[in-house]
Amino acid sequence: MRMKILVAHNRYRYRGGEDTVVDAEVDLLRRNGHEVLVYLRDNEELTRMKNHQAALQTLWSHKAVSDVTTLSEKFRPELIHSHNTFPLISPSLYSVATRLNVPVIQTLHNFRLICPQATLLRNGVQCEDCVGNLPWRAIVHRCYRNSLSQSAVASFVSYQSRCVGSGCQ
Amino acid sequence: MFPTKADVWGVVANEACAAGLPVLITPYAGAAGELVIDGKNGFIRELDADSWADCAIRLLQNERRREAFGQHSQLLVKPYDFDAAARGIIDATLLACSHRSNDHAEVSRPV
Repeated sequence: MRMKILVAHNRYRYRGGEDTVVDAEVDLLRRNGHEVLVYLRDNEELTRMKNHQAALQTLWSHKAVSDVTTLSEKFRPELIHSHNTFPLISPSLYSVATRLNVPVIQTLHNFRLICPQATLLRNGVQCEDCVGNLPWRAIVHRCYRNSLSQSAVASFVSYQSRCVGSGCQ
Repeated sequence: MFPTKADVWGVVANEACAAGLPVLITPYAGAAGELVIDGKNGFIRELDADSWADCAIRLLQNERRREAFGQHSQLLVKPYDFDAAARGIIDATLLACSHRSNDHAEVSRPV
């Protein structure tokens, strides 16, 4: 079965394994006859943003909503495959996919949906404090980059993604 | 040797195991304890140069143990192959597509 697939990924400032796997998978899908459109955002964009703009984008990216809506109207994907959505694509991707009635598969390259800091480690020790709970402890412990405000944003995104995923938006 | 301070997993450990090598790793990688079992196919050690050097020397001086570790690495990494990865994506795709409802469609779609 040949499919039309929209691949969404937020690139990291320092290229890593996730970026490599996205490129490799897109290449593999295309070589096997699938039609793939890639929606890429890049953390380089953060350098041109003020802090409060970056925080707002991270919580809910209107740009991602309008970009994905425009791309989908032209391309009409049968599936959205998202990789990293943090921070610039944001959970708004899942909402727009629901509105457009396009199914989403998500490759979980880390634990961000259940852990705002994404590694399930705090000070090198396994930590599952936020798993299954409101992730407020990550804020108290400044888990994300040792910053109170950035941890608050990351925690809200983690909570919001769970909400969008469970249909309680 | 994978001296990371924080890594959700660390696919480089899979690559080392697939190449039949023992792995030295910190406890701060997700692969530690799952793919790299202390004393079976490598060593899990805190970031301490002396302790890492000691582990490396022990392995380099004991060819039999090094080979046994390497064989164990290949055994442990076997489930993480391309087929398993592709199967995961296919299963997720089939599940997602089977859940799609047409109730809220805003984009008209060709049948």
